[in-house]
Amino acid sequence: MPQIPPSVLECRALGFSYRGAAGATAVLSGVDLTLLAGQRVAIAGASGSGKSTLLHLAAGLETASAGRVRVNGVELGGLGERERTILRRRDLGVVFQAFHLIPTLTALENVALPLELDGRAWGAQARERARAQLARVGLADKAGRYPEQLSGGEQQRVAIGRALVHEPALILADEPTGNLDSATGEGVFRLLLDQVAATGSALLMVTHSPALAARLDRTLHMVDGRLMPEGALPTVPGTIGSGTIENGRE
Amino acid sequence: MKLLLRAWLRDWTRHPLQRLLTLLGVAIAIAVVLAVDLANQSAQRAFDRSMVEVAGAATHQILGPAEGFSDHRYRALRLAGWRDLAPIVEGPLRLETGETVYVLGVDPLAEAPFRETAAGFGSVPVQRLMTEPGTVLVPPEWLAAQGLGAAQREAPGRDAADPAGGAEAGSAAELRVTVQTPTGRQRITALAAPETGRENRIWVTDIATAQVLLDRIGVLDRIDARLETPEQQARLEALLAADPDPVLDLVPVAARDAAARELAQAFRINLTAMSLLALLIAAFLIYNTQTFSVLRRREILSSLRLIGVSRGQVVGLVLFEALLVGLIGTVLGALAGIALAQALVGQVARTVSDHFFVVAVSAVEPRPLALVAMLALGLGLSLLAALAPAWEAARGQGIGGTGRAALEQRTRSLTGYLLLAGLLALGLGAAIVALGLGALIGGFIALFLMITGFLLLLPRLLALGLRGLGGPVAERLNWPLARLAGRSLERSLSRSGPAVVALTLALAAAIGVSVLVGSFRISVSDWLGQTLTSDVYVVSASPASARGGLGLPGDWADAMADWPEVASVSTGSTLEAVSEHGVIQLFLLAPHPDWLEHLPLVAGDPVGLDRRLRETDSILITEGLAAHQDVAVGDRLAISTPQGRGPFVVAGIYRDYSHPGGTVLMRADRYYGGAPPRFGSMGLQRAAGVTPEVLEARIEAWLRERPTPALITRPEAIETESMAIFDRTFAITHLLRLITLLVAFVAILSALVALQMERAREYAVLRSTGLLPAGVSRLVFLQGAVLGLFAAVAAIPLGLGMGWMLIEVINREAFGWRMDVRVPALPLAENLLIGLGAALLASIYPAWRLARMPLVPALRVTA
Repeated sequence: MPQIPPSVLECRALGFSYRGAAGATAVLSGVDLTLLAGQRVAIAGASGSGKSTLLHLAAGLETASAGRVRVNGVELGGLGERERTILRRRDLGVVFQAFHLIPTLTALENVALPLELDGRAWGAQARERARAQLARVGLADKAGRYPEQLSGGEQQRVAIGRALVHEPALILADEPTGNLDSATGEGVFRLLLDQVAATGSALLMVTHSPALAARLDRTLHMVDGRLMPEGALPTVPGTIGSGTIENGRE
Repeated sequence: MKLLLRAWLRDWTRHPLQRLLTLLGVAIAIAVVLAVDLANQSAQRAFDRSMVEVAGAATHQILGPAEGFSDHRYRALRLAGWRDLAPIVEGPLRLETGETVYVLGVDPLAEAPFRETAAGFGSVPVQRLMTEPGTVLVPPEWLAAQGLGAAQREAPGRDAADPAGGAEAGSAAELRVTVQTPTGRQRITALAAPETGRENRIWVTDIATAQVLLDRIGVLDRIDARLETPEQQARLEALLAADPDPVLDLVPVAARDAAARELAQAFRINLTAMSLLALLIAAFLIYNTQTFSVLRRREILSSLRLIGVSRGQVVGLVLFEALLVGLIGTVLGALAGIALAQALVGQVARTVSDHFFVVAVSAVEPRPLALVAMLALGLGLSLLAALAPAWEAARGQGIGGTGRAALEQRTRSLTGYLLLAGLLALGLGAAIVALGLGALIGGFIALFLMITGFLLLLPRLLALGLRGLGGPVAERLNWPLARLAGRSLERSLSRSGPAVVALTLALAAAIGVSVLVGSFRISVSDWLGQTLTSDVYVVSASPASARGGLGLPGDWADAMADWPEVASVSTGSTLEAVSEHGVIQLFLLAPHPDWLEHLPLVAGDPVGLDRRLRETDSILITEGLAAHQDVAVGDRLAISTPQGRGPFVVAGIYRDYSHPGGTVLMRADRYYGGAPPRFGSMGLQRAAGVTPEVLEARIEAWLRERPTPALITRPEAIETESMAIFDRTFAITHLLRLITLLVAFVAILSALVALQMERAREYAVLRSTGLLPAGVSRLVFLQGAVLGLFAAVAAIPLGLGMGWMLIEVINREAFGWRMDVRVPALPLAENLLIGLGAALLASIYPAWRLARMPLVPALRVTA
């Protein structure tokens, strides 16, 4: 029997809704998803389909209204805000469309920040590790620059470096190339894949690009807050195939 | 967490203007609070030192009638076995140079337990006091201040009025000085007093010399006593009471000055309260700045939360930053405060000297404890003001969490609760006033509740007003800019609200003070006009002693009454007398026939009042005395007179602003019995057809032939001098009012700059859709004008209410004074202009920047 890799992310009957002026609005419902270590999965879907909400739930930024989420075997629902924050800083790395670098820190300081926050390294040691990470993303010569002094692609590279410096189990990426031109986006995407492979992290990526999605292990399709059954094609033209990965099998 | 702090605090270098404005506001507020506190403390310490100099180590004082008592009584007490007693003659003495000094005449042989200056035979100067008449010990620094060098001071015999005078040999530092006494000019020898290690401003001489200089031969002003036990006190009281002619009272030293101390404290409390207003406005400034800086850095906060910064760490960042602002602002403010205190202390001392007791303060002495307290206050205030923004910052979840829209929605909902809380606070304050709870402190609590309650109403009122502007008003006027301005401001209530509240508070404080000072000034002026009924006044040129009130020969009144130019003569003198309430101010009057028509009587039956005052033991008291001593018409006061101590019935209460502690008015003939009255001033009413100038000339010519120096003055001059003292008294209040307005201006400047710059993208969208740069400027100015006008208008009812409270509650509790509330039109108009002007001035920079900003960077989409 082949060895089953440990699951990094597990969602069971996951649901999320918010209460607005018109009452409760369901954003996600009945989402089942399992991601194993090292797997790279794309989530595709139309705008407003709930893709980003799924990432927020996985990151512990929102609390599920139904079902459960486990990250690295830890159930998020039972955790307080402090515990979720600690889990986020240790086991997760986030890469978002808008880069979300700290504008008052240099590239080097941005990459070193997660190490300091988690207490894994301080001062010179943190800087050394950050410097090495910047070199891996090809920005060793830009360590002292502030984000506004970097191009969009460079900023996203720094964000990738920051997301992976502490070797997290899971990378969450929400349209990482959305703000970049195609050439720059391609370069950033390849870098992301290389770094994920180097650290053995799992990757859950939201994307509108069929080309990018096709280069990952699997693509899942979200329609109106639900993950389409595996193999079912969405009725919206231009979207890509979907499926679930359970217990390491399609 | 070095990187975390760096990430947060480096924002200062990117937005230095905001930080500088906040630091400036905090520094100014701390400076004024510290300056007032230091000036008050310095004046208080000067008073304490004066009391120690005058009273020495005495525990009690034996006092008699105001004009003194025979020195035989002292001998009798000594013969009865009382040892720790020291006879005193005291009073002011005018030098020929015009300077007035305070002279204490003592018996060096009895001084040892009381004062070091003239005790015993230990020093040559003290020996000379007893052996050379006309010798006086003066503070060494006074000798130094005469402009003579050390060598010259060592040459004795040099005349202070004539530095070129002849020299006589001598070994001690001394000077020959000419003084003006009630009996004429005299020459004395001023010797440097021995160093005692304590500051000394009193001129000390042998009691016999003092009796000559102050024209009190055979008379003592008081006897100091040191009584170790209550039994000793009881025995001495019994001995004094058993005297066949009991005119002496035993009074504890502390009780004698308690009233003056209490009144001076009330004055200082008023100043401190005013200075604390500036601090409150600074708190709004910090709150606003921190709120803005958190909102402006919400992207940073989002990113930090995403990568694992906890809520607690976020709160810590915001509070640490506020603490840093508070620390820097407080340190700067403390330095400025010490400098400001140097400027204020003279003013405070002068006011205290004008109204309460004479103090001399030359320098501020900052005490470490006061500075530490100020630091704690500045830091505490900064932390408190940053709590809400810190909590708001911690609410953010990062991506998908709370943003500006949600914050504004919460703010709008909150205004309803604030309105309810405000009404509750107003109700509580009104209840405290209506029930008269808590005296002066209760008055301040009620004032604070009233101010807080009203300010809590403002956000909801502002929101309603802005909604109206952005809706019906804009529609009616067909004015798109008004619609934009109203709606935009309403949706930035969390930012515009606090700025408006701060400005309203400052403007209201200014109005309140204007109402108080204006009403007071009019009342004092009216009172002077009502009570100064003589055409010409003659006053003694020798300042009367505090307990003497004497100066003009007793036959002058009768002599002038016979002149054809004179219709009527009144005489007056002010003394200190002993009563059951301690030492009181006693005004002895021999009035004009129609005097009661001009007396502002507020209680008592005017019918037959003059007859009762003439024929029975009746007195009038002032409102201040009635309030402080809780005395009403019909009550009896036991007052010592030359005939003994007897009860006097309070026949009426009148309004008087001359002495904060209050005064007892008694007819001079009732006080002196059959003895010739003595007085310090006379008022002459001219006969029909005689001008004041003619009468004045007649008096001048007559006085030239008399040895007793006297001054002639007119009611207009008295009124001018009185109003000058009044204006001096409130000079500090006006200064504090200006400083409070300055802090408020900094607050609104900071708020408007941040408010407008934070909405740069909104303006960029407007410009990209067709609004001209000039239109952007007009919009910014319109928004500033709306906020400024709202604050100015809202300040009117609050300010008038504060003024009413200050007059009807605070001042009445503190000083017992009553006055009519007058609403001054000019200050109200001024404040409207100041509010509007401040907001428009504050809009200049953002209007200029926003009209010129490049559009593309501002339009760039941000998460």
